[in-house]
Amino acid sequence: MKKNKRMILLLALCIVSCVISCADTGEKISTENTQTTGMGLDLSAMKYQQDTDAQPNFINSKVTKSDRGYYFWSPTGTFSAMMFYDIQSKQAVPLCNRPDCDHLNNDCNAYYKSIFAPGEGDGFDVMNYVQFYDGSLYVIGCDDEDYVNLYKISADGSSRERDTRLYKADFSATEESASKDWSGWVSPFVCIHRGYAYFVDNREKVPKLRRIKLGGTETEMIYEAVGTQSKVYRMEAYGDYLFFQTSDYTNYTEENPKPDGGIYVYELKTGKVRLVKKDVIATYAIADDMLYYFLDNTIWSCSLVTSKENLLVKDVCGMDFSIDEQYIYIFDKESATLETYDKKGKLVGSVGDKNLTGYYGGCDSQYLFITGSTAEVQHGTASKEVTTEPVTMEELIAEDKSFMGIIELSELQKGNGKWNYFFYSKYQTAD
Amino acid sequence: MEWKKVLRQKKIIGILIGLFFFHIFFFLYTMQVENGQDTAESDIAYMKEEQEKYIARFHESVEEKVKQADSMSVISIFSQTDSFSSRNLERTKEDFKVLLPVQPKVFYDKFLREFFSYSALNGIVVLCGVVVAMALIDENKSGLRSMIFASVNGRGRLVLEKAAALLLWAFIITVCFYGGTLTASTIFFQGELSGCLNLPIQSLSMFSSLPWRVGIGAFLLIYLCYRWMLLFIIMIIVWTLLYSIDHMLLAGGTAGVFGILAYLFYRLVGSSSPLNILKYCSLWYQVSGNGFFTEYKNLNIFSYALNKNSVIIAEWLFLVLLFLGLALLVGNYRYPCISAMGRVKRKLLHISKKVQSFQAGFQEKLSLPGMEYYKVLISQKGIVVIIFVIVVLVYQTDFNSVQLSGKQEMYAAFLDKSMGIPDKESQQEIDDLKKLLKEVDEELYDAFLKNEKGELSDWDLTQIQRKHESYEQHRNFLELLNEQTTYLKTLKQEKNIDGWYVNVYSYNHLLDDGAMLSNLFLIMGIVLLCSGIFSCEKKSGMLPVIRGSVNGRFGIFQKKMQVAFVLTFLLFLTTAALEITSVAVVYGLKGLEAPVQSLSKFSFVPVRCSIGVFFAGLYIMKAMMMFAVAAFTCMLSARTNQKFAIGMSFVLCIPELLVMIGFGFFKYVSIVEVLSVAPFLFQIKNVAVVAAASLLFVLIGVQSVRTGYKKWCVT
Repeated sequence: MKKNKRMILLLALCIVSCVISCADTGEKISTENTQTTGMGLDLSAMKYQQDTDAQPNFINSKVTKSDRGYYFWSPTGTFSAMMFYDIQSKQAVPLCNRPDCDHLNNDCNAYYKSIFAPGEGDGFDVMNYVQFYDGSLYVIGCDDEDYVNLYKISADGSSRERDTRLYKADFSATEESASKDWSGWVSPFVCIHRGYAYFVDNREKVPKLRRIKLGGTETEMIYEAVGTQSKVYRMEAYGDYLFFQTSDYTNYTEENPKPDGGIYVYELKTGKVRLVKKDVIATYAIADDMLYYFLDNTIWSCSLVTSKENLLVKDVCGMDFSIDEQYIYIFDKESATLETYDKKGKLVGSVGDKNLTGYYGGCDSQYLFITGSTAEVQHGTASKEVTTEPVTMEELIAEDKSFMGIIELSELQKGNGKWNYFFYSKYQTAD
Repeated sequence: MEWKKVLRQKKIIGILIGLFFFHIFFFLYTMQVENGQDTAESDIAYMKEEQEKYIARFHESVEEKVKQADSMSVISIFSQTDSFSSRNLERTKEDFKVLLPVQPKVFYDKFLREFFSYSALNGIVVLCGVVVAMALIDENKSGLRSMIFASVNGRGRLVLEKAAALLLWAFIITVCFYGGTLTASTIFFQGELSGCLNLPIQSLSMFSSLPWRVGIGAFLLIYLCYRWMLLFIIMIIVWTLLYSIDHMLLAGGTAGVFGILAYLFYRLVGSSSPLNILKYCSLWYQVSGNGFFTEYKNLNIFSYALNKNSVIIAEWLFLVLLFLGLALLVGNYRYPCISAMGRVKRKLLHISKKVQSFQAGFQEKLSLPGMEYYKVLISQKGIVVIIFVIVVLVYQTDFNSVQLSGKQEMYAAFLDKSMGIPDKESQQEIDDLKKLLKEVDEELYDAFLKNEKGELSDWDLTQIQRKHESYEQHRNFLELLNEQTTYLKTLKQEKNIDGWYVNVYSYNHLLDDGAMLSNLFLIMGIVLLCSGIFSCEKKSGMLPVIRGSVNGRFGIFQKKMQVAFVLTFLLFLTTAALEITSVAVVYGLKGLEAPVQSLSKFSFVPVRCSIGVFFAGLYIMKAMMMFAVAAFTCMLSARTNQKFAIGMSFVLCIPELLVMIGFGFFKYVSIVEVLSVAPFLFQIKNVAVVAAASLLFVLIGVQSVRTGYKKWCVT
């Protein structure tokens, strides 16, 4: 009898606690659409919403996509110019809406020297980040009071303004002769997602992931790295999840050649951070409910549902890769070569030239971007010679130029793939 | 016949004529200094060559603009229907098409280029305009307002006549000054004005973006009209404010606020800002240069591309209507004695009487010094000035914490342990760091060798490279330590001074030269506080009574000077406390007992003293200067009236205002610059000179007190 009473009491307690918990949140939890995966991720909460979400394909790159085309920083690194590649006309132009402008001086709307590293240099280091979010472009800059800011630029480049102060740094020089010490400047990693700017100040001894509401002033700490030789990087947002990676070389030796780190996820709804894939410190991507990652010259896939892992491609040419619905695109920066594999790991095609070196600029289902230069490029005083028309690779090699390469992936899949080099700047060797 | 009133005021005419000749002389002098022998044949040939190049490219450049508008119209972001960009493309194309048939010609244009580039002229003309506007409000001053208001044409018609007089005087000033300068330039450079009047204005390269098909002659007429209208608008704004507010200081202050706003919009709003209309509509932009004619810009007004010049002209119309309308309203409806305002005033008077009776009771209990404080802080609204200055100082101070870099963090940790004279422990720490970095370098070098031999995979090499990169902040930190250690060793060898490791970041921020605006407000605050200290007694008619009383001379003088110095000291304390705490909160202020030469910026200091003592000395110097300004203003207050004291004291601020608007040379004569003692010291690099300057300020202060004392107590 006593046992029965206890059972009834326990049951009643369970029912009451269930009722209370439902009444507390006021939310009905649908079990139909929720599929919690082997990594503890809710797949239905990972869907991309165009107006509020970061584009995972182009975060951490010099390229960003809008519904009309792609914005990218000029590849030379010497001129902080923003370019636009128009999907409709297939032309690349400086982001300046003034036909009366020759795009050769800092008055041009496409140049951003004034908001980066005022007083000295061209602030080219900030050109590692650009993001199209909610109809506007966002870039990083630093003002003369040493505040590192997010700047908002209209989609046609006609206006710009400071949007959010991320943090205050101290670039004062310790040497008497200089007023500022820009050697301490390292561009932060930034990702704007669902109304917040997530950022990592790369200058800190122990890096931290923080977030701030766009236009807000209060910063929240999300994650602090552990080791003293660590990094927090490669943020990619998928719905309610913000993925990022850490690596720590504190204990890295030849005997123990394995840096600590992995892929972490920050859950926007709960505010919790947890490790989802240990030891993965190089490129990763999420598509088709799968996590693809690079590890030790191989590309692996891992099911988000079952956590089952598969080796996809062995001995790949480079560490940068992208995924679309059908293919895996792997890029080798040493030879600017792009290799295309199907999802079973079979090589479909390859395009590139060993005379070029380049950096991966991002890829979606239509285009892939690289920035690069010819191998013999002479760095010196740069002229501002630009072209908006495609030039051939031979011309490029002959002229010693930096370039932005764009490849149309549909052409590549047909076997006609070739790079189109739209923007370049010719270097002149300093006397 | 209102315009004749100015003619009757000999002082005003004297000022205008004086300014005209001074300006012409200064223009010719500047041309002589800047151009020297530029009129030599070789220079003329060079200029001609440059002009030929420009003209050869002119057509190409215009065609490029038109073509570029067409090519840009296929780019999706620039061609969206009803968007600003598409309208801008269309408008720019249409505007520049006008220039396609234009044929610029080569001619000797130096005299015209110099005339258009001489921006000081614009400031002088505005000054003349303000003087004339002030001359046309004499009835307020002479108390004739009641009679004039009652006369037949003494209301709206009078206002219109005044406006007509302003228009006429604006025309006279414009023609005389701009015409005079053009004539002087033509004669000086031996130009041929009559020969180029029919040439297109685009023959001058500075007007290459002006999409008008006009000759130089017609353009000069338009240019004069532009300057005339602009001057008229400034004059009518100033005059309306003076006429409506009926209180010289208040009206002057309001006009000053308009001026400051115009300047801030011009300086702070970028041409690509969404609020760029504020920049282009700023009168400062319109007055200070020729941007109206030289800069082509369409503004985004609700997605319509409106040419900035049309917007500026619309703004002018609005301003004229607004200020003329305001003046007409005031002229017609503000009764000198009985008015709605008067009724409100009487009610306020009634309330203020009650307050006054309470105040009277309070005042009776005040001691002599207390009464003097009361006069300055309450009667003369000094408390408002103090609060305003303190608010500005707090606003200017940045207490936000700084996100330190790895290098700065390691540096702070190093100083926590090793602040002081370099010793074995600190050296050991540096050596350990060097050793660690050497190991990391060697590891990378070995990895490259092994990779070449095929003993190490690319992946492992990349990881070692990453590890090497992760020590970048350590390398920067070591560089900073090496820099400081080398300096301290040199200091020991050359001057036998045992320098310390101290936090250079914190002291550098304390020595920052970015406090000019705070200094400017400090000086203005002191001037406003002290200018009425003595003159208020004259104004209230109490001076003979005070002088006749027992303590009315030296006693009152002493108390008044005490009030001036105490309030000045309060402002000094506020600024010093804010400066020190803002740095101490962020960085901490440790090592104050270290020799001042530990900071490399102070290596030239010849005396041995600690950082703390040296900084105390710097702040004492600053305090001396502030006291000197207070004493100088008090002296003027004792000798003259409050307005004159304010006017004369503000002269002290003029050099800094000139520095702020771009005349950097004036920083050498600006007291505001000297008030930030440390930056001044870095420029001079001589403690004796700064000490002498401080002594000079003390002498000025003492002499001012003596002069004030003589005026107040002896004469």
